[in-house]
Amino acid sequence: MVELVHDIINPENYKKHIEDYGHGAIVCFLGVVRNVHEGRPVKRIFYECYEKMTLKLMKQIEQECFQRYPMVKMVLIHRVGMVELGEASVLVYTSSKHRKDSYESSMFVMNRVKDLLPIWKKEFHPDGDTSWVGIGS
Amino acid sequence: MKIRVIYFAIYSELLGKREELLNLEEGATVRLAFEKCTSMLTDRDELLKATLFAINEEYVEPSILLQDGDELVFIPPVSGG
Repeated sequence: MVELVHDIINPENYKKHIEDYGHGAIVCFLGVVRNVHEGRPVKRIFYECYEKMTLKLMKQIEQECFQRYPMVKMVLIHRVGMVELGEASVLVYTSSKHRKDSYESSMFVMNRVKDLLPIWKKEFHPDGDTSWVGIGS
Repeated sequence: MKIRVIYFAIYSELLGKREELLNLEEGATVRLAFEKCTSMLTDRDELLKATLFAINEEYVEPSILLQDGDELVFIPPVSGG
């Protein structure tokens, strides 16, 4: 399953989508807001996205994952709006019979998220300044 | 023809709007629309180098011809995750 959410991501709420008694491995990846980016302190991050296109591409990533790792179950959740330090902005939850597919598919999905999704981060700094990641403004 | 342009992130901030309807001649490309929409921006060329484009939720090249009713979005460097 894939989803865009506006509230705190709790992995437990999604576990049922990847649980399988035939699967011996579960990988739960959380991308969380950290307090520094390229040497500059960060207080919180606002995530903006082109929602229609993002959802379409999240479904595409899910299909790519299933084509590459047919026996994997996966969940991809991305948060939008203001995200505080330590809170998760993204969840990739994968399960498989053995650990290799869970680890590899999780990495594959996150790489596609970073390359493809029209999502933008606006960092809020302690000095009151803001900056869009990747723009240098 | 009429094109709907939606602005996100840095474009929304720099241009001070979320969207607009653009009137263009037949045969106009994505790049032409970009130049028309961003003519007041001093660092437009730098932004263009870092920008991708989407029509109707699909990534496209800037040389693509626009069609009446298209939804065009300028996509600055993405940073999901």
